[in-house]
Parts: sequence; structure tokens; C-alpha cells
Amino acid sequence: MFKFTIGAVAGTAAALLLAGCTSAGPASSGPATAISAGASHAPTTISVWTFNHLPNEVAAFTAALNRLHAKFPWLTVKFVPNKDDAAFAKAVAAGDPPDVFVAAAPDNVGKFCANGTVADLGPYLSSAKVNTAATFPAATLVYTKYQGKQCALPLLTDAFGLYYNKKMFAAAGITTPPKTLSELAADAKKLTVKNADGSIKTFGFVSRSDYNANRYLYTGVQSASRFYGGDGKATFATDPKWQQMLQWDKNLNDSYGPGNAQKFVGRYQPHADDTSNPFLTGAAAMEFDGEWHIGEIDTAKKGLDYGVAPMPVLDAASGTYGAGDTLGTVAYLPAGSKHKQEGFFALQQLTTDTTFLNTLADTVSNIPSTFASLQSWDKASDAHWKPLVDMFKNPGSYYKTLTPAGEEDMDTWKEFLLQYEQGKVANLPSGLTGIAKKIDNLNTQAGN
Amino acid sequence: MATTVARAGDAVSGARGRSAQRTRRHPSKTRWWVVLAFLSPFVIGLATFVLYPVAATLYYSLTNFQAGSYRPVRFVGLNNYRTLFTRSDNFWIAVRNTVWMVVVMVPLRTAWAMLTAWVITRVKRGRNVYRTLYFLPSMVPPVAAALSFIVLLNPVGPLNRLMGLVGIDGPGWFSDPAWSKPSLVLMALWAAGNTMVIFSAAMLDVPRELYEAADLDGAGAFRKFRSITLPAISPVIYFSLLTGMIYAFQYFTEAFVVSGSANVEASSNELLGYPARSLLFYSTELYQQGFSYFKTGYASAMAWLLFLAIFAATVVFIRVSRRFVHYAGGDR
Repeated sequence: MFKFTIGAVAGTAAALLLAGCTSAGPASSGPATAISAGASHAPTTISVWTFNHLPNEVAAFTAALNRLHAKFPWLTVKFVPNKDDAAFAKAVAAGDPPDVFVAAAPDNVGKFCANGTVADLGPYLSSAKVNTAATFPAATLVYTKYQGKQCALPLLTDAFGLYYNKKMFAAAGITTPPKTLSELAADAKKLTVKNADGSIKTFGFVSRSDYNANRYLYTGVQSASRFYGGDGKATFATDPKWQQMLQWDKNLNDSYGPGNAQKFVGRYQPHADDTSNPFLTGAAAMEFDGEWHIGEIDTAKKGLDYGVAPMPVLDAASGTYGAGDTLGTVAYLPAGSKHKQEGFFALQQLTTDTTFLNTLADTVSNIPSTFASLQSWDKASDAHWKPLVDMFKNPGSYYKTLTPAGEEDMDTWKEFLLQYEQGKVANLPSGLTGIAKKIDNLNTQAGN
Repeated sequence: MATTVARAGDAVSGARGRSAQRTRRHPSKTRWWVVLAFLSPFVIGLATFVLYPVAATLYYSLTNFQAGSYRPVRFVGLNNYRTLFTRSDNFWIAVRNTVWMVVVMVPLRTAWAMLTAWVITRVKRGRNVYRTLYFLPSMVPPVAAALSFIVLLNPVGPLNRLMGLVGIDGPGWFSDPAWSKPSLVLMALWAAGNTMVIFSAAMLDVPRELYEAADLDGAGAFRKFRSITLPAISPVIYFSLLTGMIYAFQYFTEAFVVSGSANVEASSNELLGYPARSLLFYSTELYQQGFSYFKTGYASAMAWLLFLAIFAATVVFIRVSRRFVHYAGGDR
């Protein structure tokens, strides 16, 4: 009996093992064509997963999906919030993915696309006669495509700019926001105020990569560099502007005195998004942040006299001022969806519906992601929003090229940045060569 | 004659044997499936939740398998293991951080639990109250404990404000790489109540006559602790160090929560190890590789190395412990 039991256990385990290891590929669920909005259709229920949301955001989604159901009664959507990329990957591995997945950030577009996890939307978009170039601003297509395949569609976007305290600017005699990083450093020094004991009361601008959204300062746009060159290799060793960018960062942080930038990050990083945010309390005169900061300021400190401007660029790239980092929420059609046509239908409606995009943009303080929604959005001309909307429309705005390594390349780069900022990289050129090689290796491994 | 006897004996024993075989075989035939039926929940559970995952991770560790990928799974031999040792900075940083916790946190936690137990056993009045007070934090779930400490050790939180009153500029406990691990140790000491209770019971179990004899010999409190208490509770020290070591090798929850809360701007994938990878432990790196980068094969290789490391460390510790653990009755 013992032998039988062992045999049964081993047999079951082996069967399960083989079942788990077999990559059968996604099940086919109809042709890759779009459903006509006017055509009749059998009642279908699909599932839509999204990332973490606040209750008001969930309400905005639910309202939009209810409107969708009212307009197309055959389509019922089961809405499931609070699902991240890991939960999505696990569902795919288990053979039961949702029909639409909305991810918080685009970093895994390259990975999901290369691995066949999500469907190429090209055939569906062609069938639905959606001209992506005429529908979505170019910046959004950079972070939703991988090697020419449209593997996701944008669902609102983020644009990052410089927030500055107008009162402090006036007191320091600064009349216009800086346009180059040299000007920014000079202004930061003028705006820095010390206490009687020598400690810093107000920091002009802290550029440390681990503070708030600063990691996006170092993806290449601010120095008109490309994270990856035409050959797909990281450019840190070959483009000297990376060195200039990092030296600017270190010089500025060092100018506050030993340990002061670290103290600032330690103290304020956990409060980057709440009422203790240093820009709101006056502990920082300038801050680099996404457009959602406008909403945070409106909620937490309505009367604050501040301005928003495009983030300054490296002096050697001054001609590109006005462009910036843009990336945002993306919506996927999982390759393993059992209702791909219906899933695409819902995805198309959500990503192109002007009312929904504008309502959701108002709710979460993001920027709508289609030309049509931008045109009809009442905030587009607001003094705080306009510079960011203009930046979003700027053809020079982009996010770094996405690769099969997913977010690991950015994480690896961030770790290097922090090591450099903390003085742990003795030789910057050789450090940059090393990190470029490391990231290239990651991509090679991921592509295999 | 002899042959006859032998044959008779054979016949007798043969008959007995057949009878015995019959009586043995018969019931086993009827009970076999019953036994298996009773065992089946365990057998199925063992196969599904233990043997399959173990076998699967071993297999995956030799492949390029990625969760959520439809690309064919390819056998890569020992490539994942080779990459870990030769190409991954994170792996070695995670190993260093984990070893730091094993070497610093585990002995400190054991010593702290022992000290508090010793103090409590010497308290004459209100011993149970103190014991309860010290034990209570260990009942707090790790996530809740970590969140409480994030508030307590916030750079502008109560502890730093208190320190500010006496002129000390408190550090960014969880957000400064130099302070993040010591802060986790502080949290581990706070929650050492369960170990303290075991030490307390062991200390109360030491025969009183040994202390009385030592008193007659004029031994002081420290000498009595070193020569009587310590040897008598050595099995508990051994238990505490061994379980603490295994726990520290797999240290995850507190670091995961603390990293996430110290870096609110980061998305879930960017928070592990923050600040500056000082809280990147072996299990968090394993989680990151498996669930942020979806490198299931690579993460499986890490899991197997962790298993082997814990196994090896446990064997070594058990062997070494024979020299210092004293059991009642002289058994070792």
C-alpha cells in the first residue's frame, strides 16, 4: 500500500507539474475584428480589472460602465478594482484572465507584448476604423506600442512639470520660471533659506531621484537623450549628456551641505502626497511632480499662490524646452480573454469616450488622453493645467522605450542613480558604462 | 525419523503459516481501501500543496518560465543559478541584508527576551501584569505592527518630536538607509513577548535548591545567572536562536510594509528594498523577481537556494549547539 500511495502521490504531482508547465498559448475566441456598435449581439458579460482606486474613482468607473450598459444593453461589465500587474499575470498563468485589464503604469507593455500575454490591437483597431494617430496624441503611442505593435491603449495620461511658489519667487527677485537646469540650480540656491542654527528652512529644489516623482527627471527627456539608442542598447555610456545630467543633480544636492538632501528625502518622502508635502508647507520652493499635484493642492491648500511650468532642460538641450515626460494608465486586451471581441469593444469605448475620459480626468486629476477629450475638457485652458496639457501635446514629449525587461530596466537605473547620489559611484563614466551593460544584459535575458 | 519429524514440523508450521497468511491477508484486503480513504485527504493535500509545488519549483528553476507568458517554456539548465551568482547585484545585496538580520536581529531578540524574562521573574509584585504587558505586542499581526512603527518612527512623528525636546535631531528611521535595518530590529525587540514567555517559564522551572546552594556559597546575582540559569535554560536559547534564524532567513512582511509606506510615490513594484535597497532581503528580492518581474524560473532558483541555505545553516547550528545545550538528566 505504501508503494501504491507513493506512486499515486508522485503520479499526481507529475501530472500537475506537466499541466502547469505546458504553455498551450491563448485560447482562440473569435476573429480579431471589431463588433459594430449598431449591430445586434447576444448578451455577454465581460470582466474589467483595474489597479488600486479610491472610492470616488471606482464610482467614476462604475458610472461609465453603467452608461455603457445603458447604451449597449447586451454588454454587461463585471468591474473588479484593486488588481495590479502581478495579479493579472497570475490570472493569465491560471488560464482565467479578465477580458480587459487597466494597469497603473505602462512599464510592462513591452514585456506583456513580447510574451504574447496581451493581444495586438492593430487588427481590431483597423476593423473598427480607429486611426490611432488621429485619436491619441503621439506621446501616448510611445508608451502603448512595442516594436510597432499596438499592445495597449492609453486611458488618461500623466505629464510632469515644475511647480513653483510665486511668493517665494517674488521675494527672491525671480520673475520667470527657469528654462534650463543651470537656471534652475541658480534659482534653487537663491530660494534656499536657512534657520538661525544653520539648518535649512526652505530648500530651493531637491533633485534626488528617490524623492517624489523625481525618478522621471532621469529618463532622458530633460537632456534630450534617448534611454535606448537605435540599436536597442542603453545610451548611458555613449551619450555624454547623461553624465552632465547626473553631475548637475549631485552638485545641486551637495550644495545644501552634507546629509541635508538625505534628511529632506527621509523626512518628506513618506509625505510626498499628503498635507505635509514640503511644497505645501513651504519647506520647498519648487518641486517636480505630475499633474495630479494640482488636484492635491486644490484639496489640501487651496489658496497657495503657485505656478506650473515645463520642467527645465539641460543647457545642451535648451531647444527642447517645453517637452517632458509623459506616461499614464494603459488598457490591455488579454490574449487569453474568452470574449476578445466584446473585450475590445468595451476597451475602445472606455479609451475613446470623451464624457468618460473627462469625468475620470476630473476625478483623479489626470489629463484626458484623446484629442477629442482634450479639446472639450474645460480645464485645458486653466493656468495651472495648460502648461502640462501643452507639454502632453508637444511632439518632443515621450517616455523611455519599453522593452521585454518590463520595469526592471528602470528599477536598475534608479538603483544606480541613488548609489551615485549617495557618493557610492567613484567613477561616473565607468559606472555609466557598467549600468548600460547591465541593462542591456537584462533585455537580452528577457528577450530570450 | 528426523526427516519425518521435519516433515511433520513443516506440515504443522506450513499449516500455521497458511492460516496466519490467510488471517493476515484477508483483513488487509478488506481494510486496504479503507485505510487509503482515510489517508486520502492527507495524501491529496500533500501531493497538491507540498509535493507538487516543491517539484514544480525545482523544474521551473531549470527553465526560463515566466508567469503570464505564452512563450514556450525552455529548459535552461543551471542558467538561473549561474545568473544569480555571477550577474545579480541585488542577489548579493539581499544575501548581505538577510545575513545582517540573522547575525544582528536574532541574537539581540533572544538576549532581549531573556533579559526581560529574567527581570520579570525577579519582580515580586505584579509579575503577571508585567508579563502580559510584555507579551501583548507579540499578538499584534506583523502588518499592523509595522504600520504602527511607521507612525511612531515617522521623521516628524512622536519619537522624533520627543527627541527634539531634548535637542536631538531624530533620524529618518525607515527612510534613511543607515537607520532602516536597526529600526526593524527595534520593532523585532518590541514584539519579542512570545519568546520572553518561554524564557520566563524555563527560568521558573530551574530548581530553587540550586540557587539556595549558590547563595550559601556566596554567589552573586550575575554568577547565579551565568552558572545556574544560563545552563538550565540553554535548550530554550537553542530553540529561540534556531527558530529565529529560520524566521530571519525568510524575513519579508515587515520589510515589505515598511518599504511601501516609506516610499509612497513608488508603485508596488518600485517599493521593495526602499530606501536604497537597505531593506531588500532575500525573500523580498525573491518576491520582486517572481511577482514584479514575473521571472518565475529565476525566482524558483532563488527559492531552492534559500531552502538549501536554511537546511545547511540548521544542520550546522544543531551540530554546534551540542556543545552548549544542556538537557536535564545529562542528555544532549
